[in-house]
Amino acid sequence: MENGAEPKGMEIAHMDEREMDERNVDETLRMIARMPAPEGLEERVKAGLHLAEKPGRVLAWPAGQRAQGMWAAGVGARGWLSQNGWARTRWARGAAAAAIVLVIAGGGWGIYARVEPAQSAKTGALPQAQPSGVAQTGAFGEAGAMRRPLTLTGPVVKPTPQSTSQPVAKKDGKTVIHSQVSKTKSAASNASGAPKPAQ
Amino acid sequence: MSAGQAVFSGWMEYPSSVVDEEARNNAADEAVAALVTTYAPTLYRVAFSVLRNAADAEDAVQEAFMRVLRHKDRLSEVRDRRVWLIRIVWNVVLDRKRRMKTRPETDDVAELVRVLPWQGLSAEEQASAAEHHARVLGCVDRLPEKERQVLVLSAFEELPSVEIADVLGITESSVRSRLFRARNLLAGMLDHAREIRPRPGADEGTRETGRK
Repeated sequence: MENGAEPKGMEIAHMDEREMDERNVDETLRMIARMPAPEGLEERVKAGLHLAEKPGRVLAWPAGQRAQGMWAAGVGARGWLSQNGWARTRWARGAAAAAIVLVIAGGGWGIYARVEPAQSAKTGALPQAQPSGVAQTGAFGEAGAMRRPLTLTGPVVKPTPQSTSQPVAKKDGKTVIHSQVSKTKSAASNASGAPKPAQ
Repeated sequence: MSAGQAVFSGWMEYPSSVVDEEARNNAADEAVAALVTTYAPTLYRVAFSVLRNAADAEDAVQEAFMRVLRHKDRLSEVRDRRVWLIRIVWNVVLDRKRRMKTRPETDDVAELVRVLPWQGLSAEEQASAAEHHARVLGCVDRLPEKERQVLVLSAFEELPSVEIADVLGITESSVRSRLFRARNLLAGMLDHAREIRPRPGADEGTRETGRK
């Protein structure tokens, strides 16, 4: 009896668990199904619909139905006016689009035809670049500058005669100006080719 | 155009057909607004049961009513507006679900904790209950699509099998057979999950016998 009772008990327990699982599933799904909607949902949806409707009206303005009254007043206008609005028919829209294109193109052509083309800008010939380097006059070179500012002629300084009070130094019996000594010492000695005095 | 057929407003003359159409438009707008007031919560719940995200569900409801707005002229032809609306939101939701990437189960748990009403439960209890629900929903998600759809819709008490059939565009007998199959499959999945999952008392039992 004990051997047979145990599996039966397990089976019952297993069935219980299964039922419990099923109940859990139902409970979970029902809980979601009964969940309250967030507050203000209806207002938000209505506001969204209201916003969605507005641009449509603005876009549909040329074909607006209010214009119908004004345009439909003409006798025999029914031929090209549709029942819903003057620009609802395909060819009326096409004609309107063609007219707009014509006006824009005509305006553009008018402007193009009347307005003279702007004269080309006067361009001055550039002065020929002087060969860079030292100027022939012996002054500063222009260094390839294109333009040179006008400058006033400066005062002319007369060359002063060499004063006798310049310091001199005697060397080997020759009188040499002190400032020139260092520069021309070696050159002078080489150039003169004078034999060195015998020691 | 005779004056009797038209309405004058300043220099503009509105023909009566325009006035009629405006009145019809206004009536249709009011009808849509009434539908929003009446059915938005139901549609939200339907959307949430599939998407499991509050913001997505609200967007789906919005989109559904946008579709309604586009067909507002034919609103009078609709026989059962509730079922018609549920069918619209159902299609919107399925579209979104297909486009969406699969979310991890942890996201579902967090969203359930945030959204579901937990009265008289501590934070720990809430977390554990949400985890349990998310696990069950994970099993539901693994069901084949047709069976899953019927199972989800069957949870809505206001939707009898006839209306579920209407929403899904199948016969009532198909609904019943799919529901039966869904329950069987789900039971199998849960059995399997239970076998894998360690039982809460199992460890203690083995430890006690080990000591003896």
